[in-house]
Amino acid sequence: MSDAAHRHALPRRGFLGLSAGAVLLAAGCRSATDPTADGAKGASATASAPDLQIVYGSAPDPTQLLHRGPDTPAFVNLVLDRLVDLDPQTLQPVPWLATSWEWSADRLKLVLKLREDVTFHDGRALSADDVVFSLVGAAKTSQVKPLLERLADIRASAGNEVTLTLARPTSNLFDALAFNPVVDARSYVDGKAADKVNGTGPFTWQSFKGGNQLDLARYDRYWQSGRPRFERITIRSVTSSQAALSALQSGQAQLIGAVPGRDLKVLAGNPGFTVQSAKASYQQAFLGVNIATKPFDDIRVRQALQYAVDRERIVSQVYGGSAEASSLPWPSNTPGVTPDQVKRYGHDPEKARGLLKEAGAEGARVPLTAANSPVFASLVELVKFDLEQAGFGVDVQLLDNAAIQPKIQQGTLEGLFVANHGMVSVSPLSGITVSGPLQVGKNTSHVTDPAFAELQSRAFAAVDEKARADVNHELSEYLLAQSFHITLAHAWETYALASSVHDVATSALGYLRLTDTRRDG
Amino acid sequence: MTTAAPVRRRARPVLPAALRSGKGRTGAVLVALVVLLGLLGPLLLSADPYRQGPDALAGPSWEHPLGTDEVGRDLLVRALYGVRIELLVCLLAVPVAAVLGTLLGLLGGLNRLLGEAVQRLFDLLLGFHGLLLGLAIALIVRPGLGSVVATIVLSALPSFGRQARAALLAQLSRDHVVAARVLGVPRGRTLRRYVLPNVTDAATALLAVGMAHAAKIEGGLSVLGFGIQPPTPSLGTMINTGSKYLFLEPGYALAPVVLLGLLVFGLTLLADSFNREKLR
Amino acid sequence: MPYWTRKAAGALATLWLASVAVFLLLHLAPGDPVSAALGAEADQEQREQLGRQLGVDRPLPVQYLTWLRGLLTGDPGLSFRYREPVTKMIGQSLGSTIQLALAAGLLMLVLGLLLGAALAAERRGRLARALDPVTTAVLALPVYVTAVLFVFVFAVLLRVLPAGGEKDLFAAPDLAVQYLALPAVALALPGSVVLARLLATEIRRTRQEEFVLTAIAKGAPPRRILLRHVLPNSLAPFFVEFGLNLGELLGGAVVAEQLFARHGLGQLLLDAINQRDYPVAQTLIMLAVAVAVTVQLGSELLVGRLDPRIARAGTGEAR
Repeated sequence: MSDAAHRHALPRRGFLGLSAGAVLLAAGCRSATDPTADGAKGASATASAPDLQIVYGSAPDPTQLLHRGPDTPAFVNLVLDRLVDLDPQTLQPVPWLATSWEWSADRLKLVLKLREDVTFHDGRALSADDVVFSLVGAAKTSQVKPLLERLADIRASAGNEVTLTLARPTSNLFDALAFNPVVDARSYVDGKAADKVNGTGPFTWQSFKGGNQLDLARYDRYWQSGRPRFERITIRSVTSSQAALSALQSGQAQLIGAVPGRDLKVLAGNPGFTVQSAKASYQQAFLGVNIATKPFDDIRVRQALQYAVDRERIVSQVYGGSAEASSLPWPSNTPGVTPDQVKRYGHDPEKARGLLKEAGAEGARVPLTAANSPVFASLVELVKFDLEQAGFGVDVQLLDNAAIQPKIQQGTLEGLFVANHGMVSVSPLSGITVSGPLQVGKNTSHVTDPAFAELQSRAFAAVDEKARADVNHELSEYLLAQSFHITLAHAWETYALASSVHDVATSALGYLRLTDTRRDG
Repeated sequence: MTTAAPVRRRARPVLPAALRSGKGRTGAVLVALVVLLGLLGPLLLSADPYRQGPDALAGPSWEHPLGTDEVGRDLLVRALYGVRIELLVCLLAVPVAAVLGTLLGLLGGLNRLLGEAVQRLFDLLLGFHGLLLGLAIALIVRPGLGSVVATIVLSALPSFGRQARAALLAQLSRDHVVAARVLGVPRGRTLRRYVLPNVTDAATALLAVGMAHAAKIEGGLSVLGFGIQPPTPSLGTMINTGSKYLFLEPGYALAPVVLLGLLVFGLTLLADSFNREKLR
Repeated sequence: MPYWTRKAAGALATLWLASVAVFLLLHLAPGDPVSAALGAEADQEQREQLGRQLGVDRPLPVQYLTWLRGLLTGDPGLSFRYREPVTKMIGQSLGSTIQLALAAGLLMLVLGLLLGAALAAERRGRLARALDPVTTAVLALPVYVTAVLFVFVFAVLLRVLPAGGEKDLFAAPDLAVQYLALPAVALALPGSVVLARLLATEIRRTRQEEFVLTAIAKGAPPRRILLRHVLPNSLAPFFVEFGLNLGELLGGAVVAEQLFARHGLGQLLLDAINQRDYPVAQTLIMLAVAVAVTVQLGSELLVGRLDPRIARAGTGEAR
């Protein structure tokens, strides 16, 4: 025993000494605290270094490309194209795979003309049949399928055209067309994506590793000539914002997304990085109210909530300023919405207390539920404090995603809940048609008021600009008065970039658009 | 470090002896310091650890000596309240673990079949690293004070149990106990007279180790997000959130780190000198 | 029954109990994987379809046996969340954790040996006396405390090492080492002190043995006595303890990964737990338990061999 141990002890020490020395020597070459230590430029880069490395807060998931789920990646756009895009300012449709379109006089028939030069990544040309397949699939399984409910027929017609026939006039059909990607009929079986997604987008799907890393490569025959400008993109999912930031700061990533705005403050004043917000595509953070539970059956109690929350503080403390305070779910520049409506409810704890007293609900204990993520956790902390200042007693329950989803689905959330959703940023009608918490007829707030449904059908029918503005105004007024869905903030889609990266765009629906993006060096 | 030590007939009172050593005294002073800070600090500052304000992540000022957290709460006050929670967790969990563990260990030592079952239970618990156990528990019951206490109790059970069992077995084979049995002294009386005092002495010495262990587990679970839940101030949760802002506001994470560090260090010094006394 | 069969049977029983416990714990937890994967907008039909695909509609015993068989044959099934083989997902995160554990293990060994030798210095000189409280402090402080202190000193104040992140050791060894430095040292320190103290005690004990005294009497130089006679005879318990601490290191690695933003097995486990990804979470927890039980068994057997009295007495409780 003693001999064996003796033989081993010394050589091992020698080896350790050697390796420690080697480590010290090697460490002298490059420093990991220097963002230029790694990456595409410089002799140090290995041959396989990707051109653009992205770190994102949620995982890429091929199973979610067709029907958008809770963690739909913002980078669907990189592999798949859509029929139309929405202009981020006006939210009006602009051509994409469809170059032009024409409505029939009765607004019941829409003919879309497709681009001729589009090919899938496997080389096959895009046909009208692919578009039909994609839309039929979307009408069945997409998260926005309620938007397509009025669609009676979808048909491929001669000359690369697609004809959509509606059962009744629909004012927001383009929202759905901008939302659903065009997919290859043969790469989907039973609505489930094959291992490799075949699309027409600027980048081709290379590999998807362990639910954690997605590798994309430039599609050389992309229909926008000279685009994209990267050979390779790597997207890694990193849920901790600290990890995402350190990846950016150490040059392991040049673009990070889905990081809470306040955590990006670390980058302020550092010329090596820029923080960029896409204001058009936001998640609306809200305080949902289940009006079927006491004391929220009383409208005064709900209005007290509106005055109790301090939206400005939420914007600065939760989102680090990358958000907008508003009393309405939809954008402030929505036609028909007035500045008075946007600013209807300010922070006024006195008034809230008064309303609560009037309703005889002072000191009422109410449950407040939210998903357990850093952003929701701090939203909940702020809301709880504000409500307590106004005289509520609040019992917080943070559930993880798996536990809260069934409750949202079955509408069994009691009292108050904090969550966010995205579709309201497109149009009021799409918001109240698609978003579970606001959906007419079946919502988490248990609102069954026929007046709400009446407003929805008027909005569907409002095909001209004037009528749409009128109904938007009334809908906003209804929501402000009823106060069952309390807007806390519009949280912008925010990215942090290495300053060597330019021209990163975001679609109106929050998808990352890297077609024009380039990187110095 | 929790090696079952041979236990003598009737140990001298361990506590005062331990405090006479330099190590023990230093440990006692450190623990007392942190405890006093936790108990008296909030009274002197008379501030509310839940009070939010408009200034978030603001650096030190007269009003907030350590600055404020991300929702504008005073960091110093929260750290001191965090000490209270830490102490509460330790004082709730460790005695329970000591009593339960000792009982289980004794039961196991008296009956062969029972002993085997207890042994399996302890092995199972040891197989789960303390944090792993905490993660599993936080899944079925809502994470918070209860789940943290449960985790600590379960993970500290085996040390107490094994120590009690070892002490029991050591005593049962001693001459005077064997003699008592041969002379026909009732078993219950032998146990009370000779075994229990030694077993409780052994457990007392383990208490300090257990406290340090408890504080570590609470912190670790909170760092992973499965411990005490905000807005309740806890040192571990503050370390977790504060480490995100280490560049912006170092005091956020450093204050709880120093407090927790001192507490655990002091407890370990105490435990060390207890053990030394016991072995003497 | 011989000592080792008894111990091995006990370990197997523990592992089986652990598998039942892990399976039940995760399935009793509120929340279901189908909802987590599909989100709020999915309808009943979609949910049922996915439920069938994932096999969560079958009775619990069937699910358990399927999983257990998969575990034993090295194929614990597909991740609920990503529909990828669990083994593949673990494989992809394994490297990061192994690199950290190896670096920390190596450090623990070196530090343990050096510190141990210093603590055992024959004349209890200033060094040994100064080291004593320091070692107690290092031993006492949990990984997250040392980690935060390290990050503050080396990343915030001195700016010489990164605060977090990682790099593959094979792709860029020079950078990878810098990312590893802080977490590895933070992880290794407590264990190294345990080792050092043990080694010091052993060395002091061995010095009193007759053959050492004989060597001293013969006038052998002190260095030769230490390297030739004392150290070799003190190392066996040292390595047993080293093994035990390696097992412990994996637990600490979960916390280190969280604080140093490394994407290893610990993060995989936390994500899987949050997503109710049963196959991934169960398998990882079982792996951790298996490592702990194996290390424990190994050390007990080793201790049994080193000291036959323990094997005979049958307690063999190393800790």
